[in-house]
Amino acid sequence: MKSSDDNLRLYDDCRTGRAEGYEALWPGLYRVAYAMLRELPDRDQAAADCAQLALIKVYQTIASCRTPTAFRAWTMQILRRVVLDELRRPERRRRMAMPAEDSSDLALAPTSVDDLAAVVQQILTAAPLSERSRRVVVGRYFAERSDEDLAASEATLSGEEVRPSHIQVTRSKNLAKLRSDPQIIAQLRELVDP
Amino acid sequence: MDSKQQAQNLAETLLATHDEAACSQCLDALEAYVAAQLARQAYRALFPQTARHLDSCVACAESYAVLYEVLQPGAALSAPARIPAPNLSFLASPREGISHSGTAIFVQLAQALREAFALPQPPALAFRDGEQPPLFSVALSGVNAAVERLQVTAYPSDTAEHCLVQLQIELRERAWPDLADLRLQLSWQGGSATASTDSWGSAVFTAVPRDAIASLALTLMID
Repeated sequence: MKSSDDNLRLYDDCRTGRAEGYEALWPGLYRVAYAMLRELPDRDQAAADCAQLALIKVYQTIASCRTPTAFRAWTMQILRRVVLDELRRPERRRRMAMPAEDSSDLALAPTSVDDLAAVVQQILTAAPLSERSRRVVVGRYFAERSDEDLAASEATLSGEEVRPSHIQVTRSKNLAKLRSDPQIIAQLRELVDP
Repeated sequence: MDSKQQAQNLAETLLATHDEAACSQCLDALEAYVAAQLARQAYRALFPQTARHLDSCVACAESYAVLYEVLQPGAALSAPARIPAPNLSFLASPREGISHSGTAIFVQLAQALREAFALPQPPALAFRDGEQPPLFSVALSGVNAAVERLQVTAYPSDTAEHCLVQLQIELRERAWPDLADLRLQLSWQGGSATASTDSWGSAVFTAVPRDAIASLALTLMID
């Protein structure tokens, strides 16, 4: 943890446009960018580009830094947002897209059930989700379990480390899979309260 | 919560529509969301919209996961083999591009233009029919003892290869209508053009090559 004095000195150097300030920020920005971009094949170049852009944004927006005593943390927030924007660029996402768990269509049988709870249960039962994926969705929506709790259960079952963030991504991807079925969406639209 | 409400929540997540604004709001809240989660606060209750959006948007969920990894206390960040040097040329002031010789002022616009392009662009304003928003606009204040302000604005031209550059000059000791006939030369790599100001201190250069914008330089003669 850097001291307030260190932050204030750094803030003052950067605010007055001194190269020393920006040179002192650079290694930390680069390291974090490098760590966040670990999935990219051009990781070194992408990390340099993101850290460079973050440095320029710090220079341009330093007047809006409200807490100079936490200046380094403020610059890291800028960097993290720059990296997230980089990772979200469409060409990056296309390249990094993970294969779907199961690419088959859901092909739900038409139902005459008009009760929303029953329809949702039917969807979850018929959907081609792995047991783990089903537990992650059902656990959140019907057992109201936290991701920390679900991660601990899955870690016990698999014998591997499972983080809450893994649970979140798994759930989002599987819900996206359900969402991609027009029949499910049409059925839900008719039943969901406006 | 009863089973109908639980099903309703899941159905609403599945039916959630996506737009850039929702993703942008989510990203803005993501740092605080992860910080609350890592601090073992009731993060889903504190940020219900973010929690719901993460379930309905894979891109934002992946962003969240990247952030979660890096913000964990004691996160072991993989170290790069070497750290390249930063490019600090952005620290050069636009003022360094201004020089004087007698009554002539030379303004090299490259640095000011680089900064203008690097700044986040504000939302487009509504323009009257037929009036086009500028490609960029750069203002230099306190240019020298005589010139209070100099504004350079480029507009799209009729052709894709060219643009129209308008200069607006404010002097410290002269105002309308005494701003007429200040002589200006706009030069760029491979060409130049001359013009004089009108009584408002405005001059227009038509048919400036767009690909020459980065090398624009201005010479202003004040009698």
